[in-house]
Amino acid sequence: MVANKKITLNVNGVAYDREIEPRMLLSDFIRHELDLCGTHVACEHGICGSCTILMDGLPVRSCLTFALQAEGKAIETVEALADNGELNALQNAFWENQGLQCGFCTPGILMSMKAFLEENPSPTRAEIREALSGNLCRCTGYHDIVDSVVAAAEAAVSAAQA
Amino acid sequence: MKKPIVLGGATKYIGESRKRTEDPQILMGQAKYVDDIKIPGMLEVAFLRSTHGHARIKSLNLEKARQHPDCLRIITNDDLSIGFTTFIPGTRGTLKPVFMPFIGTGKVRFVGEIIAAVVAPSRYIAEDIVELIEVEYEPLPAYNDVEEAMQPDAVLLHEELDSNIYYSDSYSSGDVDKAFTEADLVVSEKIATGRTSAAPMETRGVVAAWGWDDTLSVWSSTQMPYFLRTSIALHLGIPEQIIRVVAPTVGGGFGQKAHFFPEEFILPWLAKEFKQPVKWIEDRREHLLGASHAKQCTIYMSLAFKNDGALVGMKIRNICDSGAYSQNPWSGLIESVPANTGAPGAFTVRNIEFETVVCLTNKMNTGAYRGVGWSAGCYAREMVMTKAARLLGLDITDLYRKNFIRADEFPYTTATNQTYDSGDYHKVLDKCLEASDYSQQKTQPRLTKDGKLRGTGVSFFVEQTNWGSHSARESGFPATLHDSTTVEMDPSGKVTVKSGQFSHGQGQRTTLAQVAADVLGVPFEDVKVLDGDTATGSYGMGTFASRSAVIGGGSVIRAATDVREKLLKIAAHVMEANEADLTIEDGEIFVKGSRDISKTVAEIAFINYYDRYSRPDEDEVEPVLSSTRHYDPPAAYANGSHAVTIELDPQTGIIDIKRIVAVEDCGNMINPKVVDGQMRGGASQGIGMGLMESLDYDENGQLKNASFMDFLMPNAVTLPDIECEHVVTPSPITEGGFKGAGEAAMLSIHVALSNALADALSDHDGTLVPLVTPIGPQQVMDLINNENQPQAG
Repeated sequence: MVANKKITLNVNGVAYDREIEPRMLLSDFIRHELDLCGTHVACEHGICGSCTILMDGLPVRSCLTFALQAEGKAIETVEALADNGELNALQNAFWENQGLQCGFCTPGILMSMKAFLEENPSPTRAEIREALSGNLCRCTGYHDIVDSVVAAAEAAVSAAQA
Repeated sequence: MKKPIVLGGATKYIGESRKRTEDPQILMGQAKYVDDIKIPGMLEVAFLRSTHGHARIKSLNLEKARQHPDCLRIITNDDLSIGFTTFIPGTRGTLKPVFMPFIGTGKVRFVGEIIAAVVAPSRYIAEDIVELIEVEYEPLPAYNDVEEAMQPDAVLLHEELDSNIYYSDSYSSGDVDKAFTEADLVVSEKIATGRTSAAPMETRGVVAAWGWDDTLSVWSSTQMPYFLRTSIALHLGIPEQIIRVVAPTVGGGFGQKAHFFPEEFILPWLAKEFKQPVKWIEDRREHLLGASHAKQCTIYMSLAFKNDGALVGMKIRNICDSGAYSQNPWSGLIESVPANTGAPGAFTVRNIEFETVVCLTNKMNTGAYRGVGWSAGCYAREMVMTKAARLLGLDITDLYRKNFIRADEFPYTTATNQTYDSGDYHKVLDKCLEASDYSQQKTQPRLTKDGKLRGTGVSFFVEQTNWGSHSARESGFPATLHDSTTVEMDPSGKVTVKSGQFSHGQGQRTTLAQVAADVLGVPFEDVKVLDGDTATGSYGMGTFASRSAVIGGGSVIRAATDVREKLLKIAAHVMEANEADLTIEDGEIFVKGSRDISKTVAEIAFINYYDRYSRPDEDEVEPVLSSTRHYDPPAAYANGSHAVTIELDPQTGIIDIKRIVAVEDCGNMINPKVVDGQMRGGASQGIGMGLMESLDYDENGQLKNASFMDFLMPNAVTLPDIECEHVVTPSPITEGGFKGAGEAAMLSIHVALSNALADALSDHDGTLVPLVTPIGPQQVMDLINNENQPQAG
C-alpha cells in the first residue's frame, strides 16, 4: 500500500487540504471527497466528456487526471456556475432550449462550452458542433444543445452591447 | 370499453412547449443520481466477471483474495445459489424456460458473467481484491452466429435444454402460396442487423441498505421501480411492503434499464444478509459487457409484388440472437416477436406467414432497447421493398402510396391482428417529401463536383405505442401492463400527482403536471409530480415502450377529473350555486360566464379539510380531494416519416449525413418541444445503430470493443440539425387523444439512411441495396464491390 499524500487545491473558490491515495482520480476526489457530485463519470476513458471540469480555466477530463495532478490548481466545476440558485446565462440558455434530457452529460457539456465561448464568443453552428464533439450525449441528438449554445452566445453579445 | 374523456374547454397547458421543471437542478449539478447517494458506513462492491465466452469453471480459489487486509466479504454461488427464470405467461409457441443464476457457477456462458462479488471499504480496494481471485477455466466452443448455434450438433449452452433454440413459433394468414405463385416479382434476401447497446450516459448502479426498522431500501438506476420492488421481494422472500425502491435521477435508460438484472438482486441480498449498506456503480466496460444488448437479428425476408407495386405477400423467418440467457423479464423474444407481429407496417398486405426463432449464443443477453424488434424487422422489410422498387422501375414512395392503409380505412386490423386506431399516412409522407425537397433531390446528379455521391432516402413507419396489456398482446407478448396515478389536492389547493411511471429524461414531471393543471383548472406551478419512488407513487409499470404520455397522461386525466368533480360539488354547496354552472380556470371557481361570484380553489380546498360546517355533509360528499385511477388503454399506433440526405465518399465508404427531416403523428401532443426532443434523440440513436454501432465478438466470445474508445456512437459532428415537423391525428380511443412518441425514429431513420446510400449508388448499379446494419465504411465498400453480402439461403 502506497502512503497517502497531501494535496492542497482550490475548488470553486474554496481552499481544500486533504490526504489521499496517490492513485485517486480527480473525478473521484471531486465527487466523493469533496461531495461535489455534479461532475459525472460515464466512460472512464476520456472519451465522453461527462467529467469535464476547468483547471486553471481550461477544460480537463477529470477521469483521466489523478487528483494529485491538481496540486495548487484552481478547479471549477458545474456547481460554480449558478449564483445562489440563479442559473447563469449559459445554463439559462440550456433551460430555454431544452438542451438536455436525462442531464447526465450536461455538467461536462456546460464546462466545455463555458471555456469554448470564452475563446470563441460568436461561433457558427459548425464550430459549436466541432467544439461539442468531445462530449457525448445519448438523449438529445445534439440539435437542441447547439441551439442552446447559439442562444447563450447571442445573449452574451446582446448583454455586452447593452 | 368506456369512451375516453374528451378534454373540454380551452387546454391551456396541453399543447404548450413548456420549459421543463426538472432542468434547473440538473443544470446546477444538484440532481442526485444513484452514485450520489451516500449512507454512513456504506461499503462498495466489485464483481469478478468471466473472461471466457463459454467455459467450465474448473476451480475458483478465493484464498489470496480473502487474505487481503481490507477484504470484508466475498460471495459466490455457494452463498447465493438462486437466480431467475424468465416468465412469460401464456405465450404461444415452444417457449422453454432458461435459468440464469445471479452468480454463475459450474460454467460461464458469456464474457462478463458474474462469478463472485467482493465487498470492501472502497471500489478501488474491492477491485484490488477481485484481481487476487484465481479462476481456472476449461474453454468450450463459443457461438457468435445463431445459425451455427442452432445446428443439431452444436454444443449446448444450457444442458437442460435439448437445443440452443428456446423459442420458435409460426403464423400464417391469408393465402400466401397463392400470392407468391401469382406474383409478378418475388424478392428474397437475408438481412443481418448488428448488435448494439442502448448505452445511456449513466451506467447502471445499485445502492442497498437494511434499516434499523427492518426495512430494505434500494436505489437503482432503473426505469421500473415497482417491478424491481416486486422482483426483489419474490427472490429475496421478504414481504414487498418492507421494501422501498427509489430511482433517483436516472441518466437515460432507453429500455435497457427496464429489466431485472442480477446486480439488482445481489446488492439487496448483501444489505439484508450483512446489515450494512452497499453500493455498486457499473463502469463502462462492465456496462458494455454486462448490460443487455439489442437489435441483432438474422432475417430471411421474401416479398411478393404485382407489377404496379402492390405488395401481395410476405414470408419471413426472423432469428433473434438472444445472447447467453433469456433476459428477465422480456427475454430474447423482445426482438423477433414484435418484429414479426409488426411486419405489415403501414401496408394493407393480407397474405403473411412468418417463423419466429430465438436462439442462444455466447454473448450478453438481448433485452429491450428503444424500438424493440421493429428496428430490425422494419429494416428487413424496407430494404427488400427498396430493392423491389428498383426492379419494378418504381420509386419507394410509389410503393408506399400503392400499399398504404388509407385515412378512411381506420380502424384497420392488419393481417397480424393489430388494430390501428387512426392516421393519415399519405399526408405524413407528403409532408416529409416536401420538407426534404425529395423530388428535387431525386433529379439532381448523384455525382457532386468534388467526387462525392449524393443520395436521399425516405422511410415511413407505423409505431405501436403505449404498451399496456392490449399493446403487449397485439405484439405477441400477452403480459399484464398498466399504471395507476394518484392525484391529490392538499388544504392549500396545491396538487400532487403520484405516478408509478418514471421520467429518466423524458420530462414527465413537466408533462404530467401540464395534464393535471389543465384538467383541474389550476396554475401549472401549483402541480408537483412525484415519481421514481415506491414510497410515494402509485403502483405502475414504469416508463418504457412509448407508454408514459398515453398511460401516465391518461391515468392523470381520470384521477384529476375525479378530483375536479369533487371540488365542484363542494364549491356548489359553499357558493349555493348549481354544480353544472360552475367551472374552474386559473385556480378560480366561478359561475360560467360571470366571474363576479367566485371562490379560489385554495379556499374550497381549505374548507374541505378544515371547515366541517361550511362543506357539504360527509354522507353527501365525502371530503377527500384525492383519487387513484388505473389505466390500461387500447393500443394506439403512431406513424411518421424520415428523410436523410447524405454524401458518400466512394473511395473510402465514409457517409457524411447532410440533412435529416423527421415528421411524426403521435396524436395530440402534451408538450411539442418534448416530442421534438424524443424525435431528435431517437434519430441520433437510430443513426448510431444504422451507421456505426456494433458490439463485435470474436470466435472465442470475446467482446472486442468494450469501451467508448472502440464502440462508436454518434457525436455532434456525426449528425446535422434534425428538422422536425408534425401532423396531428388525435387517437379516437385514448384519453386525451394521445399516442406514444418515444421509439419512432428507431423504426425508421436507419431505413432512410440505407435508402440514401442505395440512392447515392443508383448510377453505379440500380440494385445495390444495403442488407446489414451498421453500414460503416467497410460495409459500404463491400456493397460497392459486391463482397461479404448476406446470402439468401
